[in-house]
Amino acid sequence: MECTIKREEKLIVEIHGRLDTVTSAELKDKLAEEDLTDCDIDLDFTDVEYISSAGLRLLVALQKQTKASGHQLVIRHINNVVNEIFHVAGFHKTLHIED
Amino acid sequence: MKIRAKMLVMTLVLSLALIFSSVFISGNIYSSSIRNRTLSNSQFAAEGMSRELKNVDASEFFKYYLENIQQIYKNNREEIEKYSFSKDISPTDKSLFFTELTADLFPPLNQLGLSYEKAWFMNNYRFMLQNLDLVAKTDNMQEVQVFYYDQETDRLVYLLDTNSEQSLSYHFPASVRTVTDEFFKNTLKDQKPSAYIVGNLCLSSAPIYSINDELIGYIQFTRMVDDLKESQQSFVWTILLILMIATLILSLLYLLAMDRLVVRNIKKLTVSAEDFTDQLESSEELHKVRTDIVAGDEVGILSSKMELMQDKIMEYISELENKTAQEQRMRAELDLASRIQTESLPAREFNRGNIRLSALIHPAKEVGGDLYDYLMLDDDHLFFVIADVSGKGVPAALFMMRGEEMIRTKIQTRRPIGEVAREVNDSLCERNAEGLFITAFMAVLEISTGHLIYVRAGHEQPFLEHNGEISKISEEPNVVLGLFEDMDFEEGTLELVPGDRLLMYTDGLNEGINGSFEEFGYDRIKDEMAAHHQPVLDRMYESLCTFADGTDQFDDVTMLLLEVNRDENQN
Repeated sequence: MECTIKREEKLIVEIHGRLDTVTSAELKDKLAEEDLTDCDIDLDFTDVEYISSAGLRLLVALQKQTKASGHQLVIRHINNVVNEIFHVAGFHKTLHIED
Repeated sequence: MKIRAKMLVMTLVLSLALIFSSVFISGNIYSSSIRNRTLSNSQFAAEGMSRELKNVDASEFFKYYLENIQQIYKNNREEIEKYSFSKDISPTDKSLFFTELTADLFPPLNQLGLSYEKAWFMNNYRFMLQNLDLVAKTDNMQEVQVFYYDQETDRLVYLLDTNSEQSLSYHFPASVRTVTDEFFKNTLKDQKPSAYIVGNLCLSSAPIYSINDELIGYIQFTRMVDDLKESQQSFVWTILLILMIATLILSLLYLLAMDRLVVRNIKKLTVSAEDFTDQLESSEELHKVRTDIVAGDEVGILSSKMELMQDKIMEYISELENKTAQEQRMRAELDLASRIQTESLPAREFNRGNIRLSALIHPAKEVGGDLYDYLMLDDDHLFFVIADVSGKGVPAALFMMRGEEMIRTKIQTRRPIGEVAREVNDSLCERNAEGLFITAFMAVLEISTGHLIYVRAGHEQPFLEHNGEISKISEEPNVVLGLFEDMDFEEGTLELVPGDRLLMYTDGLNEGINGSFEEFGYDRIKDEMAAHHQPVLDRMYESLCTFADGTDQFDDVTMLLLEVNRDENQN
């Protein structure tokens, strides 16, 4: 898993690879270095191949954090595999997903 | 041994280099000192001879002889020059010249008859020649010559020559030579004894004076330097021998010293290291192996560092042993936890009427985050659930226990299953800082009618075989349990008929991977389900294991199968 973080009007995070137990923890550490409370967050999932339950938990935690500070978390460009996982887990109901 | 051999070779090479360089240098020094000594000896001999000849008889003889030779030379100058210096003069001609010349010397003497002078001359001549020869031999001189210098013609006229055939047969030789060597020029100019080495010859000369101090001529000694070389060689060999013995002794001493200082200590180090590693291999109780080296040099430092290293290794090993023991305790506890968890699950198989419920569970770690459960709510209603916690191991198991108890408690209040899900979700959300969640498929079956009401909370879609066709049950899922509060959980319904099967599973099955990270996938589940009836769960698991081919599985695998049989079960 690799990620690039750009701060423009929003915080844009591009994630590449698998988001499993190990890499989710890495992503969490990287995001912890950023101030996540002052703007919207865009997660670019174009290159995310797979997301595990640990990844899902990270997304929920991020969403709660942004919501608490009055901002929005948007997940963009999810592929079919991730979309399926989101649907199985019912996350498409609670997460803001855009193309 | 290897170090010793190397040191021996190095020492020998070094000492040989030393020997040869010193022999070369000393040989040169000796050679030049020999030359100097030869020169001074020769010069001294010439000087001594010159003094020797300055007695009445000798000087009288030489004076007389000289005057005659001078006379003859002057008279026959042209002829002598012609013979002596014509280019193609042959030895016969030369000897002819000598014969004539010596013959010509006699007329003045012959005129005297066999007079006193002639006898005196002959006696003296023989005596002189013998004496000179004797002196020459004692002084290691090969040749002695007496000559005078003719200034007018710049010629050296030889009066006596011990090297000459004629002189030894008591003729009166004389030969004439040109003055070629700078040496002679210097002697002639300075009128002093001097010596000079040319090629392998050492030439020395000194003026001869009469008793009245008039210059009569010069004496010249010739000596080979060859015999000097011989003595020089023996000297060199002696030195070489002495040096070699000395160097050998010194080398041995040096080797012994090095051996004491380095090799022996290194051996000690090796032995102690071997002892220590032997201990490591033989799993005896470790004890420190001392090297007994007391030295402030590098070997001493190495030794103390090695002892320090032994300490560290022993420290680490005991630490490791503690850790292992601790780990074993943990493992034992986990095993116990795993047993408790397994025992808390209901039996793997349940039959009621024509309903059969069978289960299979394989945790990827000792304690799992997967669960199944079932419960008869009354005589006609069977509740069952399959669930999966995010994460694995102890935290997942603990969270699951919490969820399970809640579900069990709340379902027994006989409230609609959607409401049960809602309440469980809200309760789980209350104290869930870690953000763990549960996916679950729970259902209540009315056995008599086959009417099934279910809630799918973020769980994998079960496969339903209905009237011989297998497909995933289709409806919008609900969110997972434990993350989002105040969510509604929609119920779904199925009408099961005899022959129907419902396969529920956790994502450990469909996301099971092989060596190339391929997933087992839904299609394989569907195929396996179609291919097998009883016992489909075991076959499914075997198929997964074959597919994974030894690849470690990340997730627990749990399956629950509901079968509606055409006949009542026998048991």
